[in-house]
Amino acid sequence: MAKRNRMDVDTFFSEVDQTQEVYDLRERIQALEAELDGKVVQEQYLIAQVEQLRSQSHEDDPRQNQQLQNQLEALRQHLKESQGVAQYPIGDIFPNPDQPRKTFTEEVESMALSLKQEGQLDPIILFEDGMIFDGECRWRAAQTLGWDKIDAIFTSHLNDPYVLRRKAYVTSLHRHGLNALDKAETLLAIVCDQIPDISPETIPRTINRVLTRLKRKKQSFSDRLHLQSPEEQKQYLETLDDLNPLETQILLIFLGLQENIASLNRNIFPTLKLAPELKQAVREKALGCAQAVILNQLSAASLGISEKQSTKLRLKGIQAVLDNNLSTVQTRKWVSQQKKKDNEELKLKSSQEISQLLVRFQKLNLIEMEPTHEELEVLQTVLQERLEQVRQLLR
Amino acid sequence: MTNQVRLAIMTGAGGVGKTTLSVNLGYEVASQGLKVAIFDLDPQGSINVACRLNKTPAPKATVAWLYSGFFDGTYALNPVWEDHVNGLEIYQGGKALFKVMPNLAQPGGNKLLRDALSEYPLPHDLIIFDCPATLDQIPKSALIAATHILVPLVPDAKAIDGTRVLLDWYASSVQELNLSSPPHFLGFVINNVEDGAEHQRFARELPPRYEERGYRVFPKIKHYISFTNAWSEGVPLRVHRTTHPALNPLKTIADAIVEEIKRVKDGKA
Repeated sequence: MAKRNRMDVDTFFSEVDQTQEVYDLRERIQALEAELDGKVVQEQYLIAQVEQLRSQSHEDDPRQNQQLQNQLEALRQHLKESQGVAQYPIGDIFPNPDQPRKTFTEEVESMALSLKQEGQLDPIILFEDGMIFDGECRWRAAQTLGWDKIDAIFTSHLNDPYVLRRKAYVTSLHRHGLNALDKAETLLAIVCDQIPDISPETIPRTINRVLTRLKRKKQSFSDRLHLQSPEEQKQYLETLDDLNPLETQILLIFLGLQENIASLNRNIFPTLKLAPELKQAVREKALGCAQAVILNQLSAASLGISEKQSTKLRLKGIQAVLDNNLSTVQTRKWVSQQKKKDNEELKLKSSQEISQLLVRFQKLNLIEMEPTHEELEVLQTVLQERLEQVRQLLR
Repeated sequence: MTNQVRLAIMTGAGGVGKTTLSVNLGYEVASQGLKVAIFDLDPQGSINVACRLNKTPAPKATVAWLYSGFFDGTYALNPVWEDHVNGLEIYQGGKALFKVMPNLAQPGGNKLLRDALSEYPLPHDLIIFDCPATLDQIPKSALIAATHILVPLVPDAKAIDGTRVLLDWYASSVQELNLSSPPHFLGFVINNVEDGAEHQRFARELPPRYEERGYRVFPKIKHYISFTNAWSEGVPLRVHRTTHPALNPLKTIADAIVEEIKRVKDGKA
């Protein structure tokens, strides 16, 4: 009888190895993709910064010019590290038609001199098709010197601005240290990029409406929803049958950015309604967003005072919070004290007015004043009207 | 990160001695003065027999409660073998686990075990997750919560292929869940080795091959009738027999666990 084949241990292990290898490779690919993605995002971020500075810059402002040079240097370093410098044929290079600067003569002459004496210090930055991003002056100077090639590094054309905005937000590069106000504005901008025709102010309202509706049904989003995969999020939203397509779309954008919807509604979006001086204090004086939202309760409408008075009160609040480094609890206490004070002041003020009026009435001696007949008639009408008011109030 | 060792005992095949290993290792580690909790994640609840516990605990008194969505940090831990050891406790499993399967299947459900332990931390030095043999959501929740994995297997074709399935499942789960610090393989234990030629051949051929691939293989544990007898008495092997050849390999594994506990604590400090 022929011996049957027994299980061979090595065959078994080669199967194990194969699947393990697939997972290892997959992991490696993911790591490389992430690395590449990070590089591209940083590159694009730097380019966007340079372009923004260029569009704002006035040639004569030395501070802005320095900022621009610093950004360009950062970009140059980044590109040098990620790809290295290449020698590129001068004939294949062409200038950027959007370059705002059109006159070069003097700079080109002095640049040519520098190139001749010291050689090329920094590579020029080109788009992949050979268009100049930075270094037109050096390129022109090299032409006058009759060079064939020039040191260059390459970058790609900017993605659509909206892709960039999203990427910049997603990378910690930009997200890190973003305050609630900036975060709220960026998030609205991202939604507006992806849903044309939507007006930004409807977005927080939509989110609030969805949450209120869920609450009425004693439901809420799961705490971990924003950490799940897009497919899982989509499936989950489909189980909530009363979402309209626009609501779903907005929710998916925020969830895709790993934002907790309830927290957006509670902590982030309220900052959009901040009074202008509060926004300014958040941006320029590092006033905490949570404190700013609390101070925002001191509005003209809620206190029954004028806009000017309420602004003054809020400015006082900003000062109090910043000077004493008030926590949210302390800020809330401060605000409620102000409200109370305000009420008392109002009451006090009105009772003061009444007593002043009474004094004047009592002092009033009509005979001494010798009024005319018409004057007395007018006085009679006015007093009768007021008397009627007093009667109504007493009832 | 946690400063306790959470050891998931997992296999890709049934009947390889998971529960026997769990209680005996739990006992060995606790005898060294450390605090140990065993979570019975098996709906069969066989640990209740091994430790002579009430076989029909209230659902609230079992691990199922932890997956229920109402968990409030009340771990119903039962001290066992108190005449012989201090600090060994069992969190019972059993059929209540069937009821929470739908919860586990929900998005985020498999993170409930980890989240419970980080929200309501236990003071124990070691938590053992005694997993069922099927690779479903329960072991997945243990995979997410665990710091280490120990894989017992019997030297037969079914159990060996089970380890292939397990390794495959491990790799795909780690990737799918995007675990930043997945549990580390403490090692493989070749268990219940009998005298037959096939058992002997596998017990000989397997260890070098696992080792080549970077896994530790602990000394094999032979099949002994004493294990069966200890079960019947409802005591660990060391209580059933103070000297026994299987106690040595058990001690080696327990020492490796204690080593990890020390490492985790030092790393923390």
